[in-house]
Amino acid sequence: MSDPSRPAVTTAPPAPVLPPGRASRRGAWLGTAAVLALVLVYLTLWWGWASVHTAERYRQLPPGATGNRGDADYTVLGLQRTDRLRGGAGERPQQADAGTTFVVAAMSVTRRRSGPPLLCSVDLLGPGGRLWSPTLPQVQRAAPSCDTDDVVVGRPYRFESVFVVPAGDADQIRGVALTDRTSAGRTPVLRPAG
Amino acid sequence: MSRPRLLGLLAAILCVALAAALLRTSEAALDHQVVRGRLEQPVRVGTGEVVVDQVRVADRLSGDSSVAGRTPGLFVVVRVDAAAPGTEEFRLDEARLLTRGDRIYAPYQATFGLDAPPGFADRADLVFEVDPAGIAGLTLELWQSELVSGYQARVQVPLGITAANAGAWRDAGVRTAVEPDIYGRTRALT
Repeated sequence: MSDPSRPAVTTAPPAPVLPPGRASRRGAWLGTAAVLALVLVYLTLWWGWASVHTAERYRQLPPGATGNRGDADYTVLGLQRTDRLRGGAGERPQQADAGTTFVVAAMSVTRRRSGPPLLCSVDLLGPGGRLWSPTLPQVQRAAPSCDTDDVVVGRPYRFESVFVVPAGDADQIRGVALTDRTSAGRTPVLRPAG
Repeated sequence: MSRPRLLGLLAAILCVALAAALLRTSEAALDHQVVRGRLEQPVRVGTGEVVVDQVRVADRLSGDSSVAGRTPGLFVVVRVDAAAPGTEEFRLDEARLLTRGDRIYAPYQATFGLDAPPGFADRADLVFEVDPAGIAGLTLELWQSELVSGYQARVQVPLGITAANAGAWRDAGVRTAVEPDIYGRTRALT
């Protein structure tokens, strides 16, 4: 008869002991599965990161704010829409083609330190992520377009960029984009104050 | 060599052979997708739309000195319109003219490139110098050059020259001059 005050002692059957060859094979399979799982995790993370970062992303800054790209700070002083670009004295204005209009961005850039040539080209961001590069006016403008050689470290330099956009998009301009193809970060988008 | 090791080695060799065979058989005959279009009809490719129209033939080109000239054969001039109706720019800068045989014609002009910013369309004429005897079935192929080549889409548009009407096209080109617009014009999409 068993004593009820003492816990019953059950004897488990002894664990099967795998022969050394089978044990090492199981370890090899587990190792392979672990490596495959790690590769899968890496591919998933890489695919997720790439799908997020290959599409251009933007960060709208408050009106009048300064945005930086590389070693330079940029400010939009004015953003003006016009159908006629005025040139120098005696020059006929350049008329926008049918269905298009000009958007003139007056810019200021301040270089913080000297280094490689300054990238001062800026883009114009429109509705739905439409992005336009600056155009070369056919008239002599009073304000210069950005010339790297004229930018002195620490001194604000004013220039203008002229864009040709579809007339239907001109009222939905989001601002000037400081596009930087070397960066995966969000592109700052600037608007003038006021 | 022990039996398990021999089996393992054989399995490894089989795997390599299988991988090589699969790689070989999975290689497509073409490294691009063909998008068939029709003359004067817009065809969607990637982020843009292409229209091929205004097929003209001549034995003389007038206008810009970079293309002006005569040929004992036939000039085929085609208008290409590339539009970017979405948010991405659309570029087409490679073209060739395919025949029913193995012969392929490169553009006659030194440069060709259409570049439409978002909301715009760009159009220009493409010129080819061809053998009048083999103009039936001429098909224009257009695509975008790539620095890193991927699996891309190419537009193919037959120019509407058939065996039945090839003679009429040949006759139309005799002692005829065409002034192609090879530099292109950009317009806003409405």
